[in-house]
Amino acid sequence: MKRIIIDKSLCMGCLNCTIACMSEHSSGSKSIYELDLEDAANEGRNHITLDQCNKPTPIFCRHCDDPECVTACMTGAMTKNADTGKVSYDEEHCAACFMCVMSCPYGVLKPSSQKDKKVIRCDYCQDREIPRCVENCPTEAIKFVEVDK
Amino acid sequence: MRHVIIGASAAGLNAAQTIRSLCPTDEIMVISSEDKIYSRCMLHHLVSGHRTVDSIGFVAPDFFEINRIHWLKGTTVRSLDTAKKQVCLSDGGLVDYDTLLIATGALPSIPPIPNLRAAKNVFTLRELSDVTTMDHLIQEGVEAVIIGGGLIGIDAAVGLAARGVRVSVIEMADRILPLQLDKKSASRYEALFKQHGINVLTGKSVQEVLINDDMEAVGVRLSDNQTISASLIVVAAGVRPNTDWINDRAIKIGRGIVTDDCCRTTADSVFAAGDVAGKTGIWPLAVKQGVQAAYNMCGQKKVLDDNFNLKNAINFFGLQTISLGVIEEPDDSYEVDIYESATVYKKIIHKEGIVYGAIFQGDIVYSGVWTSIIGKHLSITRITNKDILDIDYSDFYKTTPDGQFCY
Repeated sequence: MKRIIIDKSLCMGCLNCTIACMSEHSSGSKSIYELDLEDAANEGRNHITLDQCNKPTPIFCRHCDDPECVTACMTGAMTKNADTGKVSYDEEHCAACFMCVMSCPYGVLKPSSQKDKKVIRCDYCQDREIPRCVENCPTEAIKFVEVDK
Repeated sequence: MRHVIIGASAAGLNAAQTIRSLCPTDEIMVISSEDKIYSRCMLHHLVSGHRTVDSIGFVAPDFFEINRIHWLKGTTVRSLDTAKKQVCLSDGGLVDYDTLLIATGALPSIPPIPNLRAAKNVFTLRELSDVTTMDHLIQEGVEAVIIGGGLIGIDAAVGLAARGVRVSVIEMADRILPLQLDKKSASRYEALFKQHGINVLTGKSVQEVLINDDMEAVGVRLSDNQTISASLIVVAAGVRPNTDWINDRAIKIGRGIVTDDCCRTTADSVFAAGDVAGKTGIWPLAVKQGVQAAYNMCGQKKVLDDNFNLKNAINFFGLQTISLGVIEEPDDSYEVDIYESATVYKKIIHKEGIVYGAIFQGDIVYSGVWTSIIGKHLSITRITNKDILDIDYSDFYKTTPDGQFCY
């Protein structure tokens, strides 16, 4: 399977990845020039936080081998594809219980700030060959790499 | 090799699926007393009318076909003979097993309240049939009493209120959801329920169910002697492991079926997982136990490393809460950090760098980290440069060679 491999030491916290994610998942055009940063509909699926030494730390969904979000899902909306390794999310079937948010050990998941949406999670940009965050990282702190399952 | 699984909910079906992935050619049989597969945790969405029977499933509709599992549905297991390695079905049929998983879940407890067992129109919220049989009583303006203000009781209340039923919840403790919430966080829900027309009565218990000549419930009398009329009563006073049918002495039963850390019971080749084992009542751990039992049933030893079951996610009327570990400090040697605003309440209980409990209400963004900090007893002593509420995974950041996060 492919995973977004993170090299924390190369991250300078420029948030290009977050903006890229927001653009890719925006309700309107996917152009960064038309992205409304204040529109909750465009919230990003990844985030950068500062650790206690003020070092920027990329927190991206790992599509874990043993995903706690999938284990916790009592509707079957969150599923792990055994072939691709990708964790997929069916928002339609989700009952918004937020057990996945509670269960993600790394704090990657969150509820949407929009009322009609449920959980915000990485989808590897659907059918894009390379996720937009990876494409937009200027320091190669994140790379999309084939890893052993 | 034939693996037989009794029960088709979280533990049972996850075990079945795992056995299939581990042992492609073994025979797998799932026996369930019900004939539909659904998530119990969504029954209240059926009550409310927001979902149908077909939309509360938790596995794909072709689950049994794609996993090549023989599903004996609508069949109850009457007894068990561990010496002969055989289960006896209610229709008299016998099923031999090489390994057996008991995943029969739990049954609602019915408290010894006068008339409660005898009265008609009294329901629990555990099985699909509970909802389908109460459905004809659910009408706008009908009065209902919910006995118990825990998660199931509140689920039922919210579901019924959505259909216009005038609901009263009776809870013995001084607040609703007393196992998950402290007074402050419970009061925010109580205010919301009031806004939505749900009558919450705390610090009171039901002394008697009032019935008419036809044995139909017409109301309840409370400990303060007030009476509340109701033509529909839902009992949500906890559950107990579903073990009554087990007559084989080889299987030791305590608070549930006694199991070791590999989900093995005291009988040879018999395993137990989920609510029936009495260790947990939450979905994620039932799934984990089911998966773990499957490994051991296939001869691959797997020990469960996660037993943290004091965790719940709550979402009623758009107010989200995560409750973890202890909700009140056990004594004043613990430190409590609280953040409060008009819409958000956060509380963290800790002592000497170990966090024992937390409540996050109104803002649960990225809060899963705290499930790990509390469940794995991770020390936060070294994180000195940050407010405790700002601690997140960056403070524990670590990766495996294949790029996964870990602690």
